[in-house]
Amino acid sequence: MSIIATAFLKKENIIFELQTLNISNEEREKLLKMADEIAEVRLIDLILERLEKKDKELFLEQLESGASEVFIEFLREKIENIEVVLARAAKVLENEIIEDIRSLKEGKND
Amino acid sequence: MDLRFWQKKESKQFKVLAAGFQKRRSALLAEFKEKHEDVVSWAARRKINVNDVVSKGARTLAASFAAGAVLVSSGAAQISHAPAVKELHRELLEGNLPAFLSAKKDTSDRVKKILNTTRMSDENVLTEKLSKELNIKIVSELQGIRLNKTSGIIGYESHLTRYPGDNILTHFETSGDYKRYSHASMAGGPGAWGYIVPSRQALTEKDIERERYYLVAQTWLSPNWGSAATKEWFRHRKMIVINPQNGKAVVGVLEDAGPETGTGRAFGGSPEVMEELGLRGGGINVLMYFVDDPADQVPLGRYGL
Repeated sequence: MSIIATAFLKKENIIFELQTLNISNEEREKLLKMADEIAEVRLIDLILERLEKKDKELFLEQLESGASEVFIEFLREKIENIEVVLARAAKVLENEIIEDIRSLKEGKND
Repeated sequence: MDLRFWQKKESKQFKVLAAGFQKRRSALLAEFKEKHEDVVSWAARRKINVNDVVSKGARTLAASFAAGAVLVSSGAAQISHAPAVKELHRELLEGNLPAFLSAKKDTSDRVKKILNTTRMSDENVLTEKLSKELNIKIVSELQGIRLNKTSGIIGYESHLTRYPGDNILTHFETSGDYKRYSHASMAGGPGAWGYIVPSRQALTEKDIERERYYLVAQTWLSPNWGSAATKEWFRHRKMIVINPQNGKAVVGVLEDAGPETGTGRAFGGSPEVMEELGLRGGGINVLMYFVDDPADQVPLGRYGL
């Protein structure tokens, strides 16, 4: 699992749910990677929708030039309680993924 | 031969869940592109795939927050001490120990005393006393060249754009510096001598220091003005600025020409220079002299700390 999910999603909970399915380890890894990719879109969207147009451009330029502590300070300044906002969004996503898995087990998606 | 025979068969549950995840991500991406048309345009201008902006952006974000958590727990005070340690190493490595030892004493009280007991019009006496006290050669005229003034009001300048594309996010080396100095905006373009460097890649530690402690003077009003060589002579010229009210001194370099004559100001200082001088409000009379330092041994920054 990549750093994005490790940092924001409670992977233990998702892994626990996946272990209840009749799938191989390789398939479980693939699904975790896909969950990761969903998280990426959600989180970047969350940031961008909270930034003003001029700040969005600065943010994107900075992303292109690489990570830095300055970049985090900037986001902390522009988005109040950014860590809390991101953690909440990650929790919502985690619940959605777990719900998907449970629905599958219950045959709703089958 | 049908090679699919050798491929591992995917489980039904995996296929259903993977299809669901894929559908969810596609829907999110479509929504993202619709919602953030400016991001799509930005990516198109730079010939970057929007999907890559999302994935790279999110990974950078997560990695930065992971690193940031350590910084938060260690505290901003420690970050602000980093340059001092760096400076110490630089001094020792360059073998400039006498200047280093001298600079480690807070000289502000003694500088203030010199200024209070010497007439400002006795320029040579004043610079000699200051040179002796600070252990660096300070002069009002260097190599036959002078500025129009050695005292006058100093203004609080913006951060200089060091290279094309330099902005408030790329400008600072530490979060401590960002917190302290980002309130001052960026200058709209290059200084009187153009950008300090042509690109971010060309930026050296010395260039960073030059911008951090840059000064502005009305070079075009110098009695020696008139040739391209003189203009170039002023570029990166090392100067010392002294706040007579508190005796604080900062060594910097000329990186821009100004202020305009109608402003009533004679000099300008970077946000870092002004804060070090204790001049957040700006607008008071300071003294500014050349530092005669042909071997480039006197470090930039607050003198006497």
